[in-house]
Amino acid sequence: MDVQAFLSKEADTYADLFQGGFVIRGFVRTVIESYDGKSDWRDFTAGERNEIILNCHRMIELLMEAERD
Amino acid sequence: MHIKHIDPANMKGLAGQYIQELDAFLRHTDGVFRPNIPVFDRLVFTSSTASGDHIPQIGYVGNRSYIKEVMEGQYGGDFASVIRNQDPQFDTVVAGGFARAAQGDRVFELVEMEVTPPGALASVPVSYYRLIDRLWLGTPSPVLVNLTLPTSAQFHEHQFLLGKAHLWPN
Repeated sequence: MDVQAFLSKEADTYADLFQGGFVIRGFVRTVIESYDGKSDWRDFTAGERNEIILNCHRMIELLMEAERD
Repeated sequence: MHIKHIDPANMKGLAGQYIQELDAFLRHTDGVFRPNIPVFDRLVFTSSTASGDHIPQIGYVGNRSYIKEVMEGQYGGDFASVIRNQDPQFDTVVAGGFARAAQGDRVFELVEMEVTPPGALASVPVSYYRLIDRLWLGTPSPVLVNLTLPTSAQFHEHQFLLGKAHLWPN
């Protein structure tokens, strides 16, 4: 799966959760691109993929809290 | 452990330069996240619900961030509780900065402490700069952005050691 597919499946889902969803799309894209500019999902190690997914999930938890405040 | 306020203009070396770049970005965007945020891979984002008693809940952890390196691969859902359990004193002392930042104060600090590396007999002095500020990602309330970097002299040594680490046998 390439980065575009990942973004369309995951980031769009996240984006729909919040008022400023476009910011979340930018965040997810920036997380992915922070690994030496890698963009194809197949180029990431299993550990890097786990880090990316955990980072996204932890941020969504924070933002859901921030959305309620 | 000593923590004191320091003007970012007086932060030296590459660490100081990175913190000044992030400060300039946050002023320019009024604290709104954009994909071109500087040194993204060294940043940590936390909750802005910060009591001052503990490090707040941690969200994003940059893959070259200080916390990531300190944790040495311990990775999971709740970073803050791992830090709290590993070093309660560190947790308590550094937590105050997050609470002040949550109230709207930009935090620029020099933190000096003694640490005892695993297997070492004596403690060694460690010092680092940190910036904590509010950051908006589209929600009504902000999160906090934290950039923590070893101070200039230690930063270069730190980078050198990281670069050489793969040469050493396990």
